Amino acid sequence: MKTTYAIRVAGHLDDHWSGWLGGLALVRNSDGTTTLTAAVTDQAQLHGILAGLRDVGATLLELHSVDQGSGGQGRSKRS
Amino acid sequence: MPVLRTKLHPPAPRRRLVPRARLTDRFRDDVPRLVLVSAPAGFGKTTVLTQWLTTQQRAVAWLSLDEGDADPRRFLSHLVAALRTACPGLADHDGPAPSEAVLVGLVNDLDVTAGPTVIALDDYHVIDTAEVHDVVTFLLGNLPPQVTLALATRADPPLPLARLRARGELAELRAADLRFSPAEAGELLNDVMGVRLEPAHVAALDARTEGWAAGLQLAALAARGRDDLGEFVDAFAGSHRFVLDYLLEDVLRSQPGDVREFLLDTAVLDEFTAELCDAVTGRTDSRLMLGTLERANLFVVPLDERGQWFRYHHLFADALRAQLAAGQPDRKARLHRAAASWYADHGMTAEAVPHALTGGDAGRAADLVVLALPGLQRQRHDHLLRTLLQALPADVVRRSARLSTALAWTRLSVGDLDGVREWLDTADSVVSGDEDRAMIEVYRASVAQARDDRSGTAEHARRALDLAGPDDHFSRGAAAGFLGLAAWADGDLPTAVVTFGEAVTSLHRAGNITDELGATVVLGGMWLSCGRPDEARRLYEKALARSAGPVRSTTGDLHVGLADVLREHGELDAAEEHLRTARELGDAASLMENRHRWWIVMSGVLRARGDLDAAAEMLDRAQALYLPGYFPDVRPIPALKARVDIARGRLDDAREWARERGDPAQLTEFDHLTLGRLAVAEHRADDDLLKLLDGIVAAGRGGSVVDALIVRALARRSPDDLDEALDLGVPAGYARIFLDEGPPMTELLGRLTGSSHAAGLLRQPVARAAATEGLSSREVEVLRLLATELTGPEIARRLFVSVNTLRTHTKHIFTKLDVNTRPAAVRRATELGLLA
Repeated sequence: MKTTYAIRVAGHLDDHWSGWLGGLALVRNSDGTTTLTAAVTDQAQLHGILAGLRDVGATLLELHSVDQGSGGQGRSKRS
Repeated sequence: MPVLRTKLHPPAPRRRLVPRARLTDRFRDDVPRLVLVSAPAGFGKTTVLTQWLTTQQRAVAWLSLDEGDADPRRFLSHLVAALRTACPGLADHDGPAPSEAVLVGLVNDLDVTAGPTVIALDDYHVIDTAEVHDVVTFLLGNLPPQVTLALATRADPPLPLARLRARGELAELRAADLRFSPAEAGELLNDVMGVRLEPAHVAALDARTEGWAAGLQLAALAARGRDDLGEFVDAFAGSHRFVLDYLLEDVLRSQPGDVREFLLDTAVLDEFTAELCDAVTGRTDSRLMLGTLERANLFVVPLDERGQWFRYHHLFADALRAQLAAGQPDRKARLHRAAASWYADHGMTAEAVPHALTGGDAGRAADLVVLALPGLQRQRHDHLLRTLLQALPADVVRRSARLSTALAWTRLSVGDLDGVREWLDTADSVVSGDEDRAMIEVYRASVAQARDDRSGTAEHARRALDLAGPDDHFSRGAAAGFLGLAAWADGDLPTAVVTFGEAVTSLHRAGNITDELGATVVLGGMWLSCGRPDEARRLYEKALARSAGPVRSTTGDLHVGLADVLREHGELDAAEEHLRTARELGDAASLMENRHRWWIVMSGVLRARGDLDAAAEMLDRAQALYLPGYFPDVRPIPALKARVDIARGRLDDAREWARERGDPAQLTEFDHLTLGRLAVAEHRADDDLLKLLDGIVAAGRGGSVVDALIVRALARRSPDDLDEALDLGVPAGYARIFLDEGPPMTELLGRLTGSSHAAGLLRQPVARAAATEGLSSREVEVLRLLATELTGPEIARRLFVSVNTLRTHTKHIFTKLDVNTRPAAVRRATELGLLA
């Protein structure tokens, strides 16, 4: 079961980072931020993506899960 | 390979740096326990760390970490290598895993050998294992005060930072600190990078990049040589694009086409030389190109003093690779395969294999490993072999009998016996050729031995011998080795020495000198079991003469073997000399399965010198390093410890040991003879004991016979039994086995007035407590050193003991002399004439 997360970072990222970070959907928002959507199998994979963003110097603004399915527990974690 | 050497050098900047005294002065004079430089990529962490280090009159142990250092064993060995560049007097400290005993030894040694030192660990964020964090946490808590730790990392490490912060032992530089101020940005852009920007433009760039060092540097590169600086700054400041994307594109666009292509091509390489770049790009002028890039400040980092190896700044390389992977995946694969070929042609299999894999050519990667296998095994490059095999996809390994067999071996070395069997079954299903079949049987014998299945061991080893051709010396040697070891475990010593001797000859013929010498260490042990220290000595000395030249992974073990025999002869100074040599050669000269032996022999030397407490401590350290399953455990460490406990009157501890022994049928002769000593010490030597001793004597295994006769002599207080032991043991080179028994033995020896053997032994120093004030001879030795100018750690080092043990000694001395300071102890000792 995959969980989908939305990750918002500062600045408009170019498309080539999508593949670099393991095939994320990448949307550039009008407020000058970028939202990356990742379906991950587990937390380790999520942390891998976050480390990848860290390693290219991207500033993390927000992270939350966007799953529709069961339960509301821990659905949203904002920073 | 450049890898390790370049890891131990702080990067030496070729260009002028922006001075950052506002940061480095903060803890220039008052250096805390931990300096933490924590900020995202490209903030100039490494640079500011090297700038701070130049303000310090301190030795620097620098280590650039990579993912491999998350392996605690590798981390520790790199850390020790780094420390040894800073304090050359430091001994090698290593173990199968960084145990507390190993770390305590390292810290104690640093206490004595290190001057003011900074341990700088760069890129600490790559560490993701709790074991390594535990090691660093231990160091933070226990390093001597003159040693400071400095970490550069992209993420705060899981270390007890809050505790250190609360105690004022932590100094931090974080992103907010590292951000370039407008003044610093001006200095970087205008003075260092040579762009002519007005203050308003500098301020705008500094604001847009938020003082990010990598961004400013890219901005300078993009701006350089433009006449429309104002437009450039305005366009950049007005854009929402990610700074790195915007500027890198600009920088690349401003480069000539061939430079741009060169950068994209070579970004697939982690480290490179001009020649390697030529091979990957198909150019012939990479040397010139690299010079151009370096002069243009295009993120090329030199890795060695000779200017041969380089890498790109990580951030820059990542951005280039992301572009390449997205735009031209085929080109990326082709480049990786070219890199694999170059590395393979230069014998650098370790680097070639990952490139072949990334290039999508797993078959090539597997072929490379198969080709490298014999050399890696012959030279015992175990760690590298393991890493390579683990990198290969399992289905590729499964197609090759040799790779599957080698993978089985890696499972064996971590004790996963089921894994070994599965991989050997896989190998069996694809094997063709008797040579490979023989090898599989050799490993099946290994598994059987590790399972303590003696008949299985012998059966597989015999099958391997049948399958191996006359010239297949490696399998022949290994199989004969197992048969020899099985005979040894069965107590059939005559067969053991003959068969194992054949194994040594086969290994010699295979040209496998390292394993030949390693097997000689084992053969020496067998001769000791036979009761022939003299023969063991002859073998060790011959092997050491043969091992001249490069230090091999078994040279140190030979010195330790010889030291053990010399100790038995009573030549204690010579024994210590060989132990010192082995220690200086370090872990590179000792197989993991032998590391515990050094401590056992040192324990024996200390016991012979009368320091029983230290002897016991050495055995604890031996136990921590002991790896079961390699050799028959004919002299179990717990039994050795029990013997020391009996000798120092700690009978309760020895009884505890005796209670923990399980099935008497599983006990070795050495165990029985230790139990016998306990019975004698408890004055309950009875007929059962004598019957057991008679049985051991009748079984006729030389070493045990001498030992059993000694116990019988002590039990019956019989000089005649002793006479028999002397006639058998002394000509074969035994001395300490008698003398270590202390006063009851010297009394018996004294009664054998007609025996030249007894007279000879009595001329040797006997372990006994000093008469004066109840001080042991070791304590008198400590006292003499306390009367000198030497510091505590220096004394501990001279005596080969930890500072803790020294503390115990001094405490005992103080108690016995009824004083509580060192000068008072020396005064009192002088009055008593103890220092004369």
